[in-house]
Amino acid sequence: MSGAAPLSLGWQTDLIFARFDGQVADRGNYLLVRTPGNPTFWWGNFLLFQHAPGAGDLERWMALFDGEIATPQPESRHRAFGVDVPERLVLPPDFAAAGFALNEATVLTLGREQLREHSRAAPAGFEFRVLELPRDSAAVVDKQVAVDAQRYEVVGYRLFAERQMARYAAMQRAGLGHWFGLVTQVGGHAVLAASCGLFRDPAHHDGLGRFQYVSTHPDWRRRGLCTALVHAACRHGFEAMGLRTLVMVADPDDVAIGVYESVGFRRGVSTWQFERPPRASSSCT
Amino acid sequence: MNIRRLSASDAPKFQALRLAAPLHTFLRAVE
Repeated sequence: MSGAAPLSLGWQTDLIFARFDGQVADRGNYLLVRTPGNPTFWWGNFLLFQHAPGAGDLERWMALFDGEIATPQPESRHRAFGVDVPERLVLPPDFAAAGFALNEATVLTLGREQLREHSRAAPAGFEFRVLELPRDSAAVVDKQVAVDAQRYEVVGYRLFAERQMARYAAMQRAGLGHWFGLVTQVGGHAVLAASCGLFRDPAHHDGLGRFQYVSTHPDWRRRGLCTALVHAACRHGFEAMGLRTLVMVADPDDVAIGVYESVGFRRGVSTWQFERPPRASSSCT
Repeated sequence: MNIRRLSASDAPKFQALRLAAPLHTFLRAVE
């Protein structure tokens, strides 16, 4: 994408992670993003374009994906294309017929002065803590699996989540950020009720940070934990990590986006993601 | 600026937020 416009904030901060331990290559009219350490991570292994798909692009994009990602990484059986444009997209009929879905994600930002101080603290019995990775990675993975077990095949999802946490542990070691949790006591054990990650963009010298995987365990929902967690993590980002702008990407139709707005986040442009899950009939390609 | 370059005034506050003991894991508790 030589000479193209700078990436929007959502995609720019998405690439913090691939740039850390994967591959981001400018191929002229698209970016190749690969994560060899986690080939089943759909949005760690994709092609990013700066124009909406037009006539003939489905075949071209699929061939590029095969050559750039599926052939060198046979475990990457999904197909994923990102599009970074400001306008609203619709799913073209040929992409729909090929099994693709088009997902919109809203990019929200928060500056230090936007953080609402009146947001509530953690409810009684819950404490905000900076987790220690990899020591606490297994607890985070267990929670992620509990959150997403309905949506994905469990064994494959657990492996994906374990690989993600290994990456985050390496990023913590490199001083790029942390994983945070709201912790409570159950039967004398400290357990994780809600968690998220926050990592900084080392290429951005004005303190840009990106949240990851904000989620609350199904057993602990509807008591304000998510609000308390995000508020405390934002404060930590501003006060201890020296960040000045925090980026959150959220489903515009999910209730969580209202939580982020209540903390002070403001909606910006959307990111557009064309994705097709691995097909059961194709055993390895 | 990263965590290893925190100012002296920030460091105690940050350390106080660190989780001291390991978290329990739900699935391993069942096994």
